[in-house]
Amino acid sequence: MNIGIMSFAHIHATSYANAIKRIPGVTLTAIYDTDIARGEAAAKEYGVPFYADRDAFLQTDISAVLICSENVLHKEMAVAAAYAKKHILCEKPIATTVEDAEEMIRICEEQQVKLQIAYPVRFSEPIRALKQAIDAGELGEIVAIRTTNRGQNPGGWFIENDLSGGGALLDHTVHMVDIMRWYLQDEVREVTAFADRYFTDIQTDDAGIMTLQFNNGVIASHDASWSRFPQYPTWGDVMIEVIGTKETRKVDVFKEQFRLYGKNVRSLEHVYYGNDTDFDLIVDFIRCLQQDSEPSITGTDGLKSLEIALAGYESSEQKKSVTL
Amino acid sequence: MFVMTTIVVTSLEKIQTNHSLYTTQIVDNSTSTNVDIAITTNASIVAHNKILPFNRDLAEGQKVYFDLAAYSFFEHIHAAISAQEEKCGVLRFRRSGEKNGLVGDLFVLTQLFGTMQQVHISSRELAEKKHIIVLCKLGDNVMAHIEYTATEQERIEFEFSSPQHIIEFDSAEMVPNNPYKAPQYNIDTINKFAVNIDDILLEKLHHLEQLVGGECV
Repeated sequence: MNIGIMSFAHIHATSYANAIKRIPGVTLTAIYDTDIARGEAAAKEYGVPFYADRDAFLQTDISAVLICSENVLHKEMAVAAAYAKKHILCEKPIATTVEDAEEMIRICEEQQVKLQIAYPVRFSEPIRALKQAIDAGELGEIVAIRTTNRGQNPGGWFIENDLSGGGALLDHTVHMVDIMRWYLQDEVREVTAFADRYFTDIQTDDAGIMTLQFNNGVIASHDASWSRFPQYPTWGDVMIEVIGTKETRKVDVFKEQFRLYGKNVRSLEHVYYGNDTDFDLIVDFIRCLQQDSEPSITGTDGLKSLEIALAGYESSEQKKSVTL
Repeated sequence: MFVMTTIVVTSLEKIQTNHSLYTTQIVDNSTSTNVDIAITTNASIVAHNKILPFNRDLAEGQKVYFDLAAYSFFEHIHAAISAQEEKCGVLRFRRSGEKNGLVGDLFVLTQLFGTMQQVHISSRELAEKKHIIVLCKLGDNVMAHIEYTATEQERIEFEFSSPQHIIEFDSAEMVPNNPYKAPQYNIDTINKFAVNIDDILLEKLHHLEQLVGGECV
């Protein structure tokens, strides 16, 4: 199976490309990028042809594309790929507007191509173990959830609203909202949030927290801030605590770590040794194509989590709760 | 000149044994639990939950201490945050235990960070498992989640992320052999942060009590 990558703007493109190299029978055969220098560099690194022409790229013998562009370009790339009958794994967030996301989902359905959203957190072993425990009833009925997805300001196009569609609140809300929806099998009814700029002098928001209420009554708090500076021992966290009537459990995707002390700027480093979630995500997508099954993380999953993040901005601007 | 101070607090078991040489605790066997009044050389100090609802008779001429501001860790966190030129960042505070203490916690946190604004409160209770989420701004540049979970074990988690520092505290990590041991009061810290009881204070506490639905003391 031949795979193409559309843009290396997102850092995950590299880990996805490396994942493809590890999967027997799957080959990265083409790279397209709107940034020619970036695309050529990636093509050289992976030894595959580079295409500056999107249509020429889509006419090659590829079964699927991985879209890792700036967020605002997700829709036009996904639509073009769908019309070319290529299956799609799209980096999160699915799009920057609800309308774009809905159009992507509709056209992929019409063209009968698969659309999966890249939420690698779903493939974290501790996250999956907690999902199994919830489904087995070990925690009882869920009362509330607490989550954090704090990290460093990624810089680059992430902090340009015209390219990213939003800052920390968008970037770091969608992962955990997706996990909460997955755990609860329920949708958010109300969003109350703050978004602001506290940590660095940038154009977009870098601090954001929100309270959610689900249709089934579960309440949740979430911190999406880019509040970790480079001297912090690790990039950040992806934490979820589920408070149940029988038991409360808490996991952090990056908690599988050891502490490494050195005489560097970062004197303490937390070294992650857990499973490679990006690799497992790609394996899952390839399996979905090979077995012609429904994607494990659908376009609708991407749309729903995007809606919550955008409602967070609306709540912050209007200084009131937003009902969905 | 040293001032000998004598204090009795509501939870005697919380008093640290290594308090100041110039502080003496009185333990009256007949009243060793639920002691209301603290006696000092200057004034009495009472636990904040003893003046809610208002009890002017008890309050007159006395001071009040708040649970959160009775711990050594808080004194040091307070110093670190107060040293910053501008209080700016994201606060995540969470108390677990049988009593939620939200009014007292909110009062202490507003004293440190600034006035509560844009307050939104969510609460849920199922099978005696209760969780409360307070979302608010504190002052001009702090956004906060202040939460309470009903549990048998007492625990305080305090995280403050600012441009200059990241503060992380979890009382459950402080006693490796017994993570569920409650944090202990420090008499000197109580003395330092005890507040005079006056109409302004009572008004603030009353306002906070109304804000959180009158259920949290």
